[in-house]
Amino acid sequence: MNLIFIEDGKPLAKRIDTLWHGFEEPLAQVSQQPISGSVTLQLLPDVELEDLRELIAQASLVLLELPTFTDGRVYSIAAALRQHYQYTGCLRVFGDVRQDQIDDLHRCGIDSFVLEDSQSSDETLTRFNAFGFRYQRPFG
Amino acid sequence: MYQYSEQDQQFLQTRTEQFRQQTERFLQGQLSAEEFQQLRLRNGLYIQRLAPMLRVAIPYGLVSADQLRTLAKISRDFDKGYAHFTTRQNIQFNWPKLEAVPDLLASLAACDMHAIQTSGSCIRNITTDPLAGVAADEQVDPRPYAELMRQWSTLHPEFNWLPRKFKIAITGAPHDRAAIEVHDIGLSAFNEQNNVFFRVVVGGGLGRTPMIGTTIHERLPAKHLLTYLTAILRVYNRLGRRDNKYKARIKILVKAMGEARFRDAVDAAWQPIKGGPDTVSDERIQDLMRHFSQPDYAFVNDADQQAVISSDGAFHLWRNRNVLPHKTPGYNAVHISLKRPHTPPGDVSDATLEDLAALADDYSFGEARVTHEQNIILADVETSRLFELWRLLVSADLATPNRGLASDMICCPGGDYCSLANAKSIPVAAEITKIYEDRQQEQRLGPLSINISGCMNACGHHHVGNIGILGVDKKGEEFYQISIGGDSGDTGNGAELGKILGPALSRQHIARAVLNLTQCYESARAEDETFNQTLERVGLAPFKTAVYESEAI
Repeated sequence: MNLIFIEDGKPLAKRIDTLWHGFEEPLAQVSQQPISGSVTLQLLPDVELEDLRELIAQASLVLLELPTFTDGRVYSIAAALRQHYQYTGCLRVFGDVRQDQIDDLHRCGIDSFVLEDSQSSDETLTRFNAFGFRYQRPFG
Repeated sequence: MYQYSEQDQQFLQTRTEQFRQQTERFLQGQLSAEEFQQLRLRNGLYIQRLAPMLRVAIPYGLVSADQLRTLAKISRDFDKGYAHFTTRQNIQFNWPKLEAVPDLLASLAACDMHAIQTSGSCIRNITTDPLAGVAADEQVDPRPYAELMRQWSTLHPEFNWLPRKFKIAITGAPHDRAAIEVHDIGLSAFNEQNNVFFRVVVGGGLGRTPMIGTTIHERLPAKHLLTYLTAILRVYNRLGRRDNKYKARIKILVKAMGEARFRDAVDAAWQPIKGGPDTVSDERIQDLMRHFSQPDYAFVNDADQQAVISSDGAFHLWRNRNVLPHKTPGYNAVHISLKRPHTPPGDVSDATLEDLAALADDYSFGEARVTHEQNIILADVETSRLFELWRLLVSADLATPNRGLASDMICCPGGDYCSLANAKSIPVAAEITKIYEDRQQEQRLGPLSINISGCMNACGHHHVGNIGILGVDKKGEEFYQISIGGDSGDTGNGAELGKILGPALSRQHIARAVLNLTQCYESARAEDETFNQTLERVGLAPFKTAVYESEAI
């Protein structure tokens, strides 16, 4: 797997072998009481965010799965996390992530992308900010 | 016309280059067919029955003379010398080669046009009243709001992968000429003490499950337009069905949740962003309005102008039918019918596009409008020049005096072109045109909408035609189902869906059936009742009898 992450506004790539690379906490089960310190959350596409308000407030890594690249729910979940819940931690997407979509995912507030090898090329990092001008302001 | 800024132009160039690279990667095998399909759809490119089809947006129906010339040139360079105006203020080319599409898009971009989001599960071309800014009954000019929504929806990062396509229409007049109640979102703007508000209608649509939309906000202040739209789309994007494409439109979600729950969900999504950065200031609207070229109207006395008009009978027939009143004294909106014998509805040759461009330049400040009925309007013509314009229209075969009459049919491309169609629609339109070739007959009938779709996707809006015709497949044979009593909303009484008359008819019987229906209407109507008013009074039965018990069928 390849991880693309944003550092100082610049996209960078590295190879990783766990989805929570860079975070020490394993995935927290939603049924568990939040532990003190940071929490890693994995949210399903049909998640009811309002039920998880407290966990979201404690999370430092949220994992979002893109089941197929045409499933747009992740974009609205990310935007809602940033806009409604003021979530400021790492927002990482994995699953059927295609390089032609990472710019839009980024603009919805996702700042960390797990890509399969087939979706990674030398050009992947150039997919960000392909447009000098956009009609919308970003959610990030 | 809305004048593009340098930013707008650069944006289009970048988008074109992006698609050029994607096409190259696809042709080199670096991009899968399923992924490229989604990317090309969002650039207006379908692969059709015979060849690719490219759908070009004409945002809210406004097109300049220069753009019409570009479209004519594109039809020559990339197509077979013609193009087709659709029912959503778009224009389609039917034969471009896949490899050539990036060049075609570059030609469009050079004249501020594009095919962005004219297909795919995203927000489609924003449509509006073709008489925006000139209609005598208008309360609010919808154009700056339509442009605001064009910008907001263009490559919106959050809403590019919706459960299904999403259509927004806006009107600012009590006579709804944009059919807003049969759109995913319909906006009806009104003015109260110099403040603009919208009635927001959600979940209308035609297709397999036709529905009139539900009003979820009676009085939305204009400044909240974008945040409220974002909330609606966010709810739909999260909760709309993705397991069945026939149940994926927002109308199904609204119905499943019920009006109250849907409204509450939108409100919950709206509160955190309401009043936020996407709030629309008055200055923003004024700035957008300044980007529209304003016709330099002469101060003319309409009464003086009337005096110079000819008494030619054919001219008067055309004028009474095709010339519409204008806000500004001494000016008129001229309706140019693209429903002519021997030409499929909405089709134009490159020569006709050039003719329209020249007429727009000479008679209407270099601008034309496209209507959802697949016709053209020159919106700013001086009264004293109507006769001379009419003579030129006659010589260009563009003066058919049939606006809103039986032969002014809305018709999709149907089985001749479209791979979704169950039946052909263009030949049916041709047969119906033939029965009304005697113009007096249709003039006598008065306003009557006949809408034809080649399949239940309803691109020909058959549900909202006074007479709707739907192509169906019966064991490999083309049949047609008739419904009557539909209304798109332009009468000012709200939209109405037609009722199915009875069993589907074969192709050879369909034109005759339409004739029988209109004869039934003519003999049953009281005074100047419309078709739908007569239907309401006498009921379905006499019409059924006229179609199913006449000797010819």
